[in-house]
Amino acid sequence: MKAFSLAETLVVMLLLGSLLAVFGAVVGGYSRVSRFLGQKDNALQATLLGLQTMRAEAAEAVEILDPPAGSTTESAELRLRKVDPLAVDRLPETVPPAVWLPHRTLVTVRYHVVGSDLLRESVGGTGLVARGCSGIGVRYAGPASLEIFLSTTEETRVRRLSSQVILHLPTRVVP
Amino acid sequence: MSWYTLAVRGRAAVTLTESLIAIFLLVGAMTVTVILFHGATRHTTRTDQAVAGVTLAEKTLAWVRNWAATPAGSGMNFDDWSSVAGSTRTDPDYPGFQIRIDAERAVLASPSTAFEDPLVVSNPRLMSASFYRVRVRVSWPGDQVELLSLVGDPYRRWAASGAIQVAPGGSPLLGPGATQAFTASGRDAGGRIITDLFFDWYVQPETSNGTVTATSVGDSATFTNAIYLRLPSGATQTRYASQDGTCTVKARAVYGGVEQTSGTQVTLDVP
Repeated sequence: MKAFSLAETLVVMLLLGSLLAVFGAVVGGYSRVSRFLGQKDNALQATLLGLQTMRAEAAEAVEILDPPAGSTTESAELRLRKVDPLAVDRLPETVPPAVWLPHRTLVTVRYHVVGSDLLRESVGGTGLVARGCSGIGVRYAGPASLEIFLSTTEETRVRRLSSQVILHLPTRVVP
Repeated sequence: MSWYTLAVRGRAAVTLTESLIAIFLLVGAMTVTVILFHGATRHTTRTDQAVAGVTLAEKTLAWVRNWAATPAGSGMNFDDWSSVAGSTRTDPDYPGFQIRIDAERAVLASPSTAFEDPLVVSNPRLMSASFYRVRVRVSWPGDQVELLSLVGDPYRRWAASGAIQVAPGGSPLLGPGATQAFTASGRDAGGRIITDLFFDWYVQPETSNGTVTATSVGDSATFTNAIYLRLPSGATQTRYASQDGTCTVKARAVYGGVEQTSGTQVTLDVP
């Protein structure tokens, strides 16, 4: 039994090298795909979170400021007024109340996108709702319902998710 | 003698055949690794599809709710589900996903069933026309997801006048112990009957008085020209009005937090 000749060594090295090159390319490809899927998943989760948050708050709204009522165009932000959860003057002073104004103290809430951040702006300041959103659109889907769009960018493709929410404005429930 | 020494001297080392076998083993290990990578990617894609499927189902359900609350004619889309129940749809934002919507009427008990139980234990207040059980099924190659939810009859405002109608009107004349059946219905701003309203009946005494008993739902009631007194002994004594007089039989219902009352006057005759 003898060791490799030079030719044999070269053959083995060539085979091994080719194999490692192919394997490296495959692993590199999977790594890129995995990174892309991860980013896509994060962006999708962020968009869904943003949609869910906006839907919940829009359903609480007493008044929608933007888009303005009756508007058919799409607005680049959602601005609404809702009952201030921290205000206690909405509670009746006597039972039965002589005058009850549950919507007396309101706060304004604004959702908009800056860069890739969906921000919520209110009296308490500005907070980050979701990161990875590239655009926002809000329009009336019906007389008392909104359709909210949130976009996310997946490399070169822009994905736009939307959801509808029924408004429970006091003017609609109690004329 | 070490392997290195053997190799250098040419007496013992790895042959080409052994090297090729080693390479094949290496290829096998790499193949397994690639399969694992592939499996991970495939599962990530499937997870992504499942999330997208649930999102699409939620979006569709929100659309159904909005559709049901959209005015159509003098009513709302909720009144006629034929265009939606059993339909299939696609969404351009979700290519490759198929949506199917099924809807069937759901019968629910009054939200106050426990509170009302002593009164209606044998005949609970049921709402048979106010809810649809909506099933949204989103399917894509290899899998599917279903969402099930109740969609309620959207709020319709009371009619500006004549919101509750009690029939018959016209002050019927009743002798002692005589009975008169009444029905009540509520109407919305479009003049349509509001389904599943619960009515409470009572007698408003004027110059006379009587007794009214209603069904559990309250859509009908029976007035009797008599007063039933419960004696301390537990027995019931029947009394009739001592003079001619009137009283009003009234039906009351609350809808959307707004109470409406209507009634009809009856004339009672003495024995």
